[in-house]
Amino acid sequence: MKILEVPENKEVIVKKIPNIDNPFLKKVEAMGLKKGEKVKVLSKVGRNLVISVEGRKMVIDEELAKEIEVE
Amino acid sequence: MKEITVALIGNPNVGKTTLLNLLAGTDLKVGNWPGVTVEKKEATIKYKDYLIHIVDLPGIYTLEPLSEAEEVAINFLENEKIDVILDVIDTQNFEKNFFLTTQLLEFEKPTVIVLNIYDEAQRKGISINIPFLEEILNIKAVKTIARKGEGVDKVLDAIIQVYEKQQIPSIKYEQKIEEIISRLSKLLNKKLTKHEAIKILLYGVKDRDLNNKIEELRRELERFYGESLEDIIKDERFGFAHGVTKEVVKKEKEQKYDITELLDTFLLHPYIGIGIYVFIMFLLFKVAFDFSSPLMDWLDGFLVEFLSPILVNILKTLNASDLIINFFTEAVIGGVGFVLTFVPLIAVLFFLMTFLEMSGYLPRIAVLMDRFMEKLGLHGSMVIPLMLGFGCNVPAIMATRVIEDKRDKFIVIMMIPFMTCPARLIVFAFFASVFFDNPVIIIMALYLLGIIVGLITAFFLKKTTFKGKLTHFALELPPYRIPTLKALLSVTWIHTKGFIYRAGTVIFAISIIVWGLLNLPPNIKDQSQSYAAKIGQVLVPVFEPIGIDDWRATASLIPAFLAREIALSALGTMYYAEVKEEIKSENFNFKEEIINQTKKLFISIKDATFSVFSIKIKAFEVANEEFETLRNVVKAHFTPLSALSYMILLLIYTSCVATVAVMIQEIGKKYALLFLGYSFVLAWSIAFIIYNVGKLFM
Repeated sequence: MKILEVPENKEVIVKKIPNIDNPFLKKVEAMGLKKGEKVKVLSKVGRNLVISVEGRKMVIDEELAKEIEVE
Repeated sequence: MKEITVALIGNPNVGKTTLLNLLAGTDLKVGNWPGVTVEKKEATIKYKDYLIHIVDLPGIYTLEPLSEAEEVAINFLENEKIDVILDVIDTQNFEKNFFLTTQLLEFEKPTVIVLNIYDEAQRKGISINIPFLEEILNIKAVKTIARKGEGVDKVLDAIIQVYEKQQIPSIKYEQKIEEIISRLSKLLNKKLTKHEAIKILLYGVKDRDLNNKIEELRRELERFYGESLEDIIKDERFGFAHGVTKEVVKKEKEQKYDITELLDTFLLHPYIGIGIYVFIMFLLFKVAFDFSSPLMDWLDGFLVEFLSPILVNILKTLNASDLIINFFTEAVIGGVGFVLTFVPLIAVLFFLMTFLEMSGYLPRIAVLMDRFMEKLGLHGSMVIPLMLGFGCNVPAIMATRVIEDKRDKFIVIMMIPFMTCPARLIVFAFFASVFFDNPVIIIMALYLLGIIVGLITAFFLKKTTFKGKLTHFALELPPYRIPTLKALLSVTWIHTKGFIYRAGTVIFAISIIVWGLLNLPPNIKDQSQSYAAKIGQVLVPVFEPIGIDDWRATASLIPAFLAREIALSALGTMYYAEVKEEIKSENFNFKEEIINQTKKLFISIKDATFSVFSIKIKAFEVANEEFETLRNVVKAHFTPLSALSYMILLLIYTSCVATVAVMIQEIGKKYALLFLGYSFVLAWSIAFIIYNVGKLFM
């Protein structure tokens, strides 16, 4: 499942961040959204998802959210 | 005295700026990293027997080169002579911050880790076993609450300690990786730091033969793990951060109540959030105007009614010639003094902008506005530099570093100069209050016009030169924090100091030149024969179609290129020459006036405080009849419509050498000058339309 499909407020675990040459994905990963991390979608604002990863709150857009696999 | 160079580094939003402000106090210098427009802050502190030179690196999450910010940090760490690395961590978020820390430890330089925001962490039940952390990594760790200034004094001691002991951090990766690194060291026949070794493994060296052997090592490692080297290194760093966290971080209870969550329920709400944003912006400008306007009036009165007569009296007792008296009243007080009266407005505006910046609210605005920006094909993050543009265009252009995409960055740089900065506001505030019954509406309309012109420019660029998909959105939402007064005042002071410095240097010099041009060639009867008049008259035909036909107004546009507020000081110098007879120096009682001025100061402070709490924007509501002299003269030479033209011209035309300079640096001479031309043509055209349409109705 992609993180984009996760319903709001349900906690899931990141399975895979694809290793493609996208500096945004790399930034997101360095921010802490990485394999094995628990993550929760808090809300959607426009094209963006407000998510919370243990200790850190961040915003990613749908296109990025399509790339991130969770379970 | 020994010198220690310290690299200050950490994730964004960990309180790095606050810490630096506390460590450096007023020694803080803000500049630019060479070659790129990333703000560089540095300070040299004398402490015990040491000169500690701290260089603040951009806030980043990783040392991989994702954007200019990371490149600046990597370059500095690799190429400069650094004695100590000072790594600031948000303790609540230890593991996530430690990813960067791990990469820093790889440099094997004496390191101090600052565990900041320790109080919040404690409240969340998080505690760090500091002695153990220091032991396993061979570093020094200091817990601080920079917001309250706690623990900050220990940071400098820790720096000296690791420097004196030359404490090299120990960082051990998995056996196979360590083995490959030590074989690489043997191969190259020198001791490599982990950072160097990993870099060589990833990117190779110049020597071809060696490169083949390095490639073998790399392949061996990749075969062993069954992953690419990039992934191996990444996993290892994450793993190390996780391992250290497990060893030293203890978490006792999960705190349920979180102020950030509560606030975001409203502030990030798709509808309520927008409403609050609009209200916050209204409040920002209301407070800025209302708080500063009584103080500005007081300063104005102080200069004209108090300082000027005193100066004239002193000069007269010294038997100074009329020319010298003229110089002081016209060039010094009329020119420089007039611009200085705007210091309260500038300071309050910077204070409030800095508050928004440090509170953690700005990224929320980016998220909220992305919904609208996206419709125009623009990115929400563009809103942050644009908002900073209301403070000053120059740092706003520097702040475009938050935009990763080069194309978006170019577009936003083309928009920033249309955002009204306080320098323009000064001109607007003066003209609007002289010519219009409702100056606030005129000023707000001008702000809006600037924003619209910016959006149209961006839209146009997006549809022509910069077609393409909208870029990604990836941003951290930091927890809300109340910035300390000390940090706020310190940043406000840095900016205000810059403004005062300009008034005392550039603006003063320009005032002298303008004054000289007005009074030369020697022995002219009146100013209409002066050089200034001649220059102004040459320019009049260019500006006549937009209603500006007074040579003083056209002449003022030339020095205004240095900074827009100079337009006003130049006008001040020129028009004061006309009203000088009205400044009387007789019957001046020094003692009485001092009491009088002090009383007025208290009244203005009282007015400033009270007007902030009224709902309406009070500034400019009442014209100040005492200071009508200059206003009256200006009124005689402009009509409301030509005044509007003049304001539009200064709003849209990039009449600011500092902005043009930073644009050249950022997007190259060609585009910067092209933009300058574009802004002038656009300014003239809009003024032409508004002036001529307006004439039909007035």
